[in-house]
Amino acid sequence: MNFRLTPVLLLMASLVSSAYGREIVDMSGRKVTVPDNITRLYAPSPYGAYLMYALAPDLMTGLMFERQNNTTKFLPKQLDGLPVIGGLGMGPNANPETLIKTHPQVLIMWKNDRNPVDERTTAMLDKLNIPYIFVEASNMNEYPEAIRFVGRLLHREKRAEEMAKAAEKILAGTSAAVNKVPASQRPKVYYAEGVDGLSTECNDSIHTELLRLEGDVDVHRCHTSSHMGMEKISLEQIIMDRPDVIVAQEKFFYDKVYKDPAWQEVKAVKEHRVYLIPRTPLNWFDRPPSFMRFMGLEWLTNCVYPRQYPLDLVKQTKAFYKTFLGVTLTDQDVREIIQQ
Amino acid sequence: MSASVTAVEETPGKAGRRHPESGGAEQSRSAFARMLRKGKGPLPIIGSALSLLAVMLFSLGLGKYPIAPKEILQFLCQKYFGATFFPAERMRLLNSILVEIRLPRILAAALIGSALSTSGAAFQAMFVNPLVSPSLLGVLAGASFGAALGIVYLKSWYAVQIATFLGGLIAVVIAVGIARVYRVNSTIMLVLGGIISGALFTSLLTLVKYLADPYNQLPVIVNWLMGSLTFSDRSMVIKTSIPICLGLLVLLLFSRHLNVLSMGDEEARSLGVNVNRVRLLVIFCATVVSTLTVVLAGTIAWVGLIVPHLTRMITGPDNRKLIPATILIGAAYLIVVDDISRLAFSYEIPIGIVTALLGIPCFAFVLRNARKGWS
Repeated sequence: MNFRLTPVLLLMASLVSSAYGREIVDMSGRKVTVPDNITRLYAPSPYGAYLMYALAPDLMTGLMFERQNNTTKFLPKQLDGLPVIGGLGMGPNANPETLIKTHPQVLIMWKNDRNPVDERTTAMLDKLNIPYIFVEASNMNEYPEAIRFVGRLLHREKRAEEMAKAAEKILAGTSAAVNKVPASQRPKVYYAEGVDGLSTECNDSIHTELLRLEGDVDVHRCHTSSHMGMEKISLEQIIMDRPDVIVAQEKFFYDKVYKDPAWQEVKAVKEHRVYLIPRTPLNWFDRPPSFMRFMGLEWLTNCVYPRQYPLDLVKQTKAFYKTFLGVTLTDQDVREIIQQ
Repeated sequence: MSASVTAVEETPGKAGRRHPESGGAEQSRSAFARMLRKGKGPLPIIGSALSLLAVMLFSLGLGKYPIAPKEILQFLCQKYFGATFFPAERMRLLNSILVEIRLPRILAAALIGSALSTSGAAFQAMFVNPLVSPSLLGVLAGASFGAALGIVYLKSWYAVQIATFLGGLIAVVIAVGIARVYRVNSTIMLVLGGIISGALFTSLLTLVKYLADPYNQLPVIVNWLMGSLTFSDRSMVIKTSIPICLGLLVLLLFSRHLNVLSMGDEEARSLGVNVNRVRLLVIFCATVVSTLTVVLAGTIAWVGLIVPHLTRMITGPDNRKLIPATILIGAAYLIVVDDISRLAFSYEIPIGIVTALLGIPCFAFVLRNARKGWS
């Protein structure tokens, strides 16, 4: 009986090995066998999903979240019509059966030191019987390497290299500009979140990585390990902190800050240095932390150090969206994105 | 009969309910009169007004930015009497901190504290129950759901505020509607309607939280639900103060009717009060004012439950004294709580957390008195 089955098993094994052709080592050091040519994939974490928007929108079998209406025209067309599946470990949980039904050949998981993947998630992943790969990038300096890794995985080395190079160029250019200014003379920045502008983040928060890259300029000096953030602060405290620059998340706050009499004694408001963070199609600063923060890094460096880092924002925005999202922007689009 | 009279002396509301048919109008009237006699003179109200004033002045001097009391006096002299103590620049700074930052916030706390406490007191009288708070008919759950839904799906903040307001109203309409559908005109049906409506909107809120973007929208919703006065700037305070004050005024004018309602429906009818109409009016006013507090500052729990009890310890159960005193003490209470929330740490603690932490031991303490009779 067993002997008679052997040829069948051998045949099956060979079929399997042709479908799962290649063994790779993922970024957390696991050995995973993946198909030679990956044609369908799903990224059940926000970080991973956003990177796939840039690198492989045509291969995605579904989305993490519903896209907001006004953002679709700035995202690759291939995402239109994809079902919303959800995530594993973070965000709305995916129904495993829905996920399997879309037949992804691999799952791209994301890992970083503040967002470790817990055991429940890996147990769930093991049950799905779909190979999964960890991509790791704990900070923006590690992003180019992560992009290159995914590029190799999907045989899109050229496009990945283009993106990684662009990211590295931005990192190098901005840090050179920041380093020209001695630490004591760097402007102080207040990061205003919430419609009241009175939520903010500690300087070592996961949400203020851009401010650290600007030379650790966050005025709110404290320690947090919370992922949630949005700590309340009083306006009196802000007046005392004397920020030179305010970067604001909410348009509602930005629109009222120059008019609201309560804010007029804040240094940055007096000097007219409040900047609204662009957020289309993905936020340039944070929430969610995506590759779009590289564009944000250029924009912010220009806001904080206009003399050391002059920038043609319209031209640069067009180039960035072309490289990372494959969309061509008109001047009108850029104005819409930077909300002016 | 004599047993009933003793009971009336202790607990007018409960006694009335225990003997709905026995005494008729005459007995109700005598119980009513007895209850009112228990109240004290105008002293408690004057006292509360003075203490509110003191708390407001004291809080104006409190803040992260160091300003000495003397400077505040000099500032006021310079601003209103033309004295010259400070250069123009310092004056602008002081004006910004005292008039634009601290004052609107104190006023917001006062408005919210009054609104929640008074609707709590009105509900406690109407439902003849000491455990009732403004959220009884689902108003806070509905408003929270409206806010969360708005944060996730609406773009402008004004739209979110309108959604919050409508959410609160709709929740109460559903609660009252459920009571009406069964054509039972009793408070117990209203309470059940409120439980259903509150549970419905709490689960809808959970659903919206689950669907919200965990990076961007969820923290905003969670912060909102913890309540914070930082959301209320001067223009918001001015806009909401008109309907809140109107609602409070109506409740104040109807405090005599609340006395009657607190004796139970039968007695109220026998005293010639249109129970349904008064009840709906009180529910409407209490709903509008408590929804507006959510629009102003998110959900702030426990105030509407505690303050009426604290006030009742001072004024006694007569709503004609209880309601005005509750308005004043509620305002003072929330101003003090907000002082704690803005000064205790380098960051601000959401006020909803502080009201709960203070409210729970307070309530445990007050319960000791409540055992004697809810009033």
